[in-house]
Parts: sequence; C-alpha cells; structure tokens
Amino acid sequence: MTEMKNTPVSETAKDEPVRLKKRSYWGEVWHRLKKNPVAILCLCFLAILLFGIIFANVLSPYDYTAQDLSQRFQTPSKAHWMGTDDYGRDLLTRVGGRYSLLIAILSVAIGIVFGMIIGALCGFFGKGVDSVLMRIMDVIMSIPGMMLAICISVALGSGVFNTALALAVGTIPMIARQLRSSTMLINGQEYIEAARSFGESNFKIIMTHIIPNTLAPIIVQTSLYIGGAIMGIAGLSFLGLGVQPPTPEWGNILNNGLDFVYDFSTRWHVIVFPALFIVLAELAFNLLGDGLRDAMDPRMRK
Amino acid sequence: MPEPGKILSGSIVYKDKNILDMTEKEVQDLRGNEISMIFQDPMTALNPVMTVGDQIAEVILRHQECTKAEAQVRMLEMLDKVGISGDRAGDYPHQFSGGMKQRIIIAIALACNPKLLLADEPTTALDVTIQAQVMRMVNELKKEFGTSMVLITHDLGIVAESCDAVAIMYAGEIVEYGSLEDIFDRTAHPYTIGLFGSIPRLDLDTDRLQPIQGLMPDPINLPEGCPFHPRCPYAKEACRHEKPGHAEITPGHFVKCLRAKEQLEEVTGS
Repeated sequence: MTEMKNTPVSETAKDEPVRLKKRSYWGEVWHRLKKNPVAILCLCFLAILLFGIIFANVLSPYDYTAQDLSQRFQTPSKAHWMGTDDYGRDLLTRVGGRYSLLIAILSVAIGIVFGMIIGALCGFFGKGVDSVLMRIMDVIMSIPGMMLAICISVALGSGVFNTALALAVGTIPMIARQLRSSTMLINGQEYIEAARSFGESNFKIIMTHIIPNTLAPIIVQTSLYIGGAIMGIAGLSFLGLGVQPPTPEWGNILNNGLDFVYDFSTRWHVIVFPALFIVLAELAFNLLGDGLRDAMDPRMRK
Repeated sequence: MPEPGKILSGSIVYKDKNILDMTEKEVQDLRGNEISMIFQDPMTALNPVMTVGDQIAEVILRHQECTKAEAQVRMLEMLDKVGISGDRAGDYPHQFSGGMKQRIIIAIALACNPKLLLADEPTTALDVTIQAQVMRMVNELKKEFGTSMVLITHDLGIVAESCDAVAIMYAGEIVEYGSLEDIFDRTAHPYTIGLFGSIPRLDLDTDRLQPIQGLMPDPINLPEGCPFHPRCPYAKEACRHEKPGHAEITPGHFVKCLRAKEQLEEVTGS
C-alpha cells in the first residue's frame, strides 16, 4: 500500500500500460464455442475426417479401387480395420474416402454463393428485382428438395460436380430467403444510411456493411446444410443417381453392401460402417451448427 | 428521399448548383467529402461488425486519392482530434460508450474536411455532461477545420452556445429566422415566445412549466391560414384564413406572423 502511495498514478500507467485483453469478434465466438464440449467433439471428429480425406493416399496402404478377390468379405482385422467388400477392396479406404464430404461442401458452397447474391440483391433493391427473383425462388422451393435433386441429376447425368449442382439448386432459395430478410432488416439500420451519407456506392454498402452483418446466421445454417447435403448425396447415390461406383461414396457403398448383407453375421461391416459414417457426419454437422448458433447469438454475449 | 416520400418542388442549392439536378454519382462524390452528417443516435449509426478505425478509414479511402497506409495515418489523426487514443482503432463499436461513439461519428464526418456539416440532433442520445463535452469539441473542430454547420436541435441552450443564425421551424416551415440575438433577445413569433416560455428557469421559483397550449397539428392535415393559429394566444380572426408571408421586422430578422407584420406597419407608419 505504501509503495503505491509513493508512485504517482501517471508513472505507473506509463511504465506498465494496462493490457486490456482484447478479442476480435471471431475470437469471442471461438472462446464461447470452446466451452461447449459437444461442439468441440464434433469439430474434432470433422477435423479428423477432413484430415483423413486430404491425406488418404498417405495414410492408407490401399488404393480405393484396388481389388483383391482373394480377400473378399474380410471382417475387420489389423490389415483391414473395417474389413473388405465384395471385390476385396479395403473398406476403410473407401469409407474414409473423399467424395461424400467434398460433394456436400461443394454443393453448399455453390448454394451459398448464389443464394447470398440473390438474397442480397432482393433485400437491398426490393421492388421489381425482388419480385422477379423471389418468385423464381418460390417456384424452386415449391418442389420437394429430394425430388428436385433427383430430376436434376437425371437430367445432368451422374458425376461429382453434377451431383453437387443437383443438391445446390435446392439450397439456393433457402439461403436467398434468409439473406433477403436479414438484408432488409439491416438495410433499415442507421449505419447504412450513414454509409450512404458518406457517399458510398450501393455495391460497396452491400459488400462491406450488409454481407458481414448477415454472416452469423448463414454460417450456422451452412453447418446444418452440409449435414443435410451429406444425407442428400447418400440418398441419391443409394438410388444409383449420384456418384457411380467404383468412385467411393457412402450412399453407393451402402447400396452395394446391401446386396450382400443377407449373411449379416459375417458381412455386417459392409453396411454398418458406411451407415455409421453417414449418421456420425450428419450428427456432427448438426451439433456443431447448434453450438455455433449458441456461440454467435448476441444475447448470449456478456 | 426515402420512399414513400417525394420531392415535388423546390431546390437544394449548394455552391450555386442544384443538388436535385445532379446525377447519383455526383451526389455520392459530394456526400462525405463536401457535405457530411452527424447522426442523432450514435448507438445505431456505426456498423457493429467493423472496427471503428476501418469505418473512419473507409470514408477517407472513398474520397481521397491515397494509399491504405495514408488513410490509416489520417484515421489515427482524426481519432486523436476527437480525443480517442489511437490504440483503440482496432476496437468494435460495442466496446465504446455513447459519447465516444458520437465522437467517432464526428471523426468520420470530418475526416475529409467537409465544407458543410449537418448535425441532426447530435446530442439527444447523450446525457448533459457528455453533451457539453461533445458540443465543445464540435465547436472547436468547426473552427479548426473551417467547416460550416447546420445544427438541428430542439435544445435552445445548445443553440445559444454554438449558433450564429437561427431558424425556428413549426409544422415544416421556417416561422422565424434571424441572428442569434434577434431570436433570443427580440423574439417575435408567438411560437418562439412559447418555446422560450416552456424552458425551466433557474432564477425563478416556478412550480409548473408553461407549455404551449394544444397539440402539434397533423402534418398531412394542417389547419387553414397560419398553421400555428389554433395554439396561438394572440390569434385573431385574420389568422384563421390568411397564410402569413415572411415579414422582415429588422434587417435580417424574418417572421412569418400577421401580428408581427402589423406591429411592424404601426412602427413604420405605413
């Protein structure tokens, strides 16, 4: 106490500037997300999955198309952690393979880019632009998502990009709608008027003021949409419309496995593992989305 | 003009040019650069997801041909001018108090050294102490930058402190216009008199304030004649029918009131 009395306040402040702990917006979101064990678990699972996809060639001694007919329907063992399928292909290499998750991310990315452009234009300009674009969105939305995806993939043919596109078309109107309403809300805020009063152009206002303010709900939705897209792709491939074998995709692995599962006690692995991955990946994205929503909710902010 | 508002007639003349005749592009170049604005509510006039430094630099980059680094330097200069330390440039609006936010808005408004500053009730959202601080700062910066200011307010105390010429508005019209002294010492319009009458005074022991009688008329259904006549204590029969024009009662002091005009005529004997 006496020491403090002797030193003038200004001097202490000079010597040791008060270090305020500062976090950016994303730092703050991360900080709150960290406190949610479920979300972190999901994030870890997805990170491992993504890591496996990227480094599949290095991590697995097998090629996902390499057949070994002497090794058909092996149950899980040290050599084949998830066993092998009807052609003796290593199931872990195939299930851990790249396509399901990549197509899901690609399709949601396409959906978000177009959805955001359309939504921002509609919300910002309103009137004619809004009516025309939103009616088109309504038409797309009125068709059940899975049916739309089936129709588009039939029309475009199978393949990685076409499957992604088929699913993306269904997500565009959902994102456009959401962005439209948040754009309208933000457009009425005074800081948009302020930006206009400083001579900013419409394009600049949309890009620097409106989009960043609408991003939080979109990020949450993205996580949920990716989960949905995984189901969609698996569904399409299961029906034989999405990605074609031998390209490994959870849906077509499952479909393929289904033909041999009449002997469940020895061949259970050919359907349990791909199904488990579909469920876990979808669950992880959904729970991560929930966690992100809680972390980004301004009402939760202290 | 936001929808459904429409400009039917009139002109906005700035430097001998009618702004209403300009293209959108020309107006955008004018905004923030030549004419800028301070908003009423500092809480909502800043973008919540952009750092304040970026928001100040944005205006500079928009209007001045300079690099990002130069804009950064100018931005720190502006923060310093409004009394906020430069190391807070990376903070977000929610980390500042109301008074500080208003100062940041002032920094944005003055960043390009505008000729004209429109201040729309800049201190209504602030408490009296902060209000005094902000107004003192605005007045100093106004002198320093050589900026003219149009101050819109209902606070006659602020008017007395920072204005040279005053226009009193009622129901969308200027009812009295003159120098600060004209309005405060030679008040002529009954509405202005009423305004001064409704200010609480420290030097008198009053129990009740003296409000102007009646209510504001509906702006889309204004009364015939003088719009103030239903509330005017001096209203005569003529006020009901005749819309008063501007009368110049002393040089530079205009009043829109029949009574003032009559008094003027009596004095000059015409």
